[in-house]
Amino acid sequence: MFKSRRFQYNIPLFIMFAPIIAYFLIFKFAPMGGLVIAFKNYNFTDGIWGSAWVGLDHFHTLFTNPNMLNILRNTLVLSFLQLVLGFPFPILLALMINEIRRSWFKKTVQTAVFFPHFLNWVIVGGIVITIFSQETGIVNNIMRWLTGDSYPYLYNTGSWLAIFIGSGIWKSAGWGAIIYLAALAGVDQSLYEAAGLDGASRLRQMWHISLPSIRPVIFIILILSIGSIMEVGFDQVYMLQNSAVSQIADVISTWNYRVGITGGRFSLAAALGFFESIIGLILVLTANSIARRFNNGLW
Amino acid sequence: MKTMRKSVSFMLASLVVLVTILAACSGGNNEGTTGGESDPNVKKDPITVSMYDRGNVPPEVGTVDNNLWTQWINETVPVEYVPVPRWESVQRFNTLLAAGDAPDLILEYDNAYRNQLYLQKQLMPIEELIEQHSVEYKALLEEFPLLRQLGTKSDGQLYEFGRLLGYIPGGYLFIREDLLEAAGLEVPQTVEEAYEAMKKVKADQLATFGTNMSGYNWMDVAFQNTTWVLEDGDMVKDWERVAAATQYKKQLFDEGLIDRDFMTDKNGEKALQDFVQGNTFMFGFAGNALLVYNNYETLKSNVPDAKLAVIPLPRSEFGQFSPYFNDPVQMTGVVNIKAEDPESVMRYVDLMSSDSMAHTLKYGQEGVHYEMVDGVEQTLDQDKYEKEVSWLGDYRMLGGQHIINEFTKYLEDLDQSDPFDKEVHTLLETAFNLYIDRERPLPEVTKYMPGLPDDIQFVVSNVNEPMSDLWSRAIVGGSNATVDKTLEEAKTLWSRSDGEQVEQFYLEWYRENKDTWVFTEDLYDMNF
Repeated sequence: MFKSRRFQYNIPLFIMFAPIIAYFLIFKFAPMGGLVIAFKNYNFTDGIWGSAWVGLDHFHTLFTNPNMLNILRNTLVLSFLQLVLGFPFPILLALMINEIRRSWFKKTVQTAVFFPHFLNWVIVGGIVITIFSQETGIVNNIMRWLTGDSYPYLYNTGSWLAIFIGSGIWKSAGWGAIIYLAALAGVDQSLYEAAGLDGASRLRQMWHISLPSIRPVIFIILILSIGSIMEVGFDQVYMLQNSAVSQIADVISTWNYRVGITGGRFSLAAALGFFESIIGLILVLTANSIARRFNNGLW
Repeated sequence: MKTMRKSVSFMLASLVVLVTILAACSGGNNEGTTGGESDPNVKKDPITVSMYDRGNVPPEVGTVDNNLWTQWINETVPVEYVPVPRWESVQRFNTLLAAGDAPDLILEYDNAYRNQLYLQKQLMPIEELIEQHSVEYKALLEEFPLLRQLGTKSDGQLYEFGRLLGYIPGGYLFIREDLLEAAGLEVPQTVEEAYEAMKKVKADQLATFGTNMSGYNWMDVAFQNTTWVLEDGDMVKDWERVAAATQYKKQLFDEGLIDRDFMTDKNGEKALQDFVQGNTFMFGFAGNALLVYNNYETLKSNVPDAKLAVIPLPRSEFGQFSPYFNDPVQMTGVVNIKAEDPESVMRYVDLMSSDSMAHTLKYGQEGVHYEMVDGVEQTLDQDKYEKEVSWLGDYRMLGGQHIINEFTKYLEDLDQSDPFDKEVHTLLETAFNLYIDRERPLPEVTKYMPGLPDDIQFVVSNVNEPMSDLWSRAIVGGSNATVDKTLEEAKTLWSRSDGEQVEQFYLEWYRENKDTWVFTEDLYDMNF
């Protein structure tokens, strides 16, 4: 094989590819070895290899923990809602931005909706809490003016959930739209012209040309986001949660931070992370096999 | 052909580079171990010591790990400082430890974290080290046996260095005397009176809030809501006090006497803002004397008529207690088990523990920062002092720091001729006399709770937060969440989460140690 003309011809390409292989080996594959600490009683002194093996003890601790069921449920619920409610927004946004014909206006809108993505959750969380707080929040000020009474939006699980999902959409929809916009830019313009000549309205064109053209992209994004359904981004939920809603807001990542990382139980944290990844992998594989039935599989 | 050979050799070369890098990574700092053996002719590597980075070192003076003081200390003991961000110290230490780069001497205030290091077998016992190589610290250890008692871990060996601080108030309950007068009220003596007073002040529209819930919560102290209490000579988990405290808070919440957003104010910053803007009638505050001064000054500039008084905590059915004061003896330092040169670490600890060092780190150097006038240190140039000496608090983490009590020194430094300074002086002095008094003790059984073994620690960290969330929900839950119902839920949660194991641990621990351990009442007879 190494003597074949084709290999020799492509040697410069292999060389250029070498750093990427090295990157993946060093930063993606090698650290996976660290997963062994999920099966060991890791401590700093003995290190990863020296620590004693404990088998599945940590998994046993995790799944006999009475709070774990609640935490898993919270994680799935929050993340499922985020996916179902949040998924259509970037697509809608991209379709709408795509319909704008004046380029200066289009650029302004694009910049405006991308902007929240660059704000840290610490900032966004602070803004959200200030807006919805009971004594001084602007929403409650308006409500007091209208009805004479205020409402604890952040203490009530239903309204907290809405705020949680809504703030997530506000922050990420614009950024998520980029990939759809790129796909839309690639659509053959003659299709629109032909449809226009046939008398198709803007809505019809959107439905029959734009959407089908970006369908593969939509599927890819869907499959990838299903893979992360076991993860609720730590920053967002950590910033927004408070004691009153912890029964629905305590998720794997926050529990892992509190008990695993700050409690110094790294093996336990690794075990939970490992479990989370395996579920994620299974979900991705399932989603992909379903998508393949519709000829839109990722691989 | 020629280009091909070139590219092959290039590829080989890059492989070699890669392999070298990898080898260098995994090699770590092996080269140090052989040099560490005590051969007096070989120059030793400097020891490494952690140093909190609070971002308060003036740039003209240098950086956290390289400034005029580090250079000065280096003349006696070669030491390299490892900066650790003050408010993320635990994360930073964990990273350093995992990478094998942790400092030889770890200085950290967090008791639970040091105990965690002990449980992870990360620490070196120091008994022998002190015995053989120490002078200053050894003397302190003999004079203040508490240092030994507190530094000893569950295996009976001494692991921790500590410092002596003297008595320094840490928490306060302030009341707005001007509002009290305007409402025609006396200083409330009991929690019920306090509730009535808050209600009156709110009804008269003198203040927005009766008191603060976020930040320093004085109500938990007044109700002795400390989780573990003594009953019939045993240490048991408390349910009565937490229920009473929650009932009280719920009442305040329902009547709008506290900020209803308290739960989203995680660091108490909003509560403090409300207070300095004059919106709060009674204010529980934790901080040092300087912060008291600054916040009072801000309050005065916002509300010129505001007048603060510091009062004893109101009495509850469980007794009368005082807000916390800093541990008069505090454990702070542990030695990394991987330290190559423990002898030099000991020399460093001795150096930093000495009376003369404590003096220098507070006043600066004689002739440079101060001079003696009639036996009293007089600062030569206040600006120079602020810039070069005032921020040295984190250098004073070891040994006999009590010889200059920070609090009393701060009081002495106040300018008695200035009316505001004089007022603050009276305020702080009152606090000192009121709060450090065995008649109104601290609410806890002991300030020095024992380090927990691994499995118990897990139960605690797993159950603590859900429990406190449950109680918080009772406060904001309106008529649906009664305290009685919450108490039932809390008990179920506690037993479902193996809380009995924790109870069992403390029960046994107390029975075994009640004659030898340091309890709250022992704190009042220190001879500083």
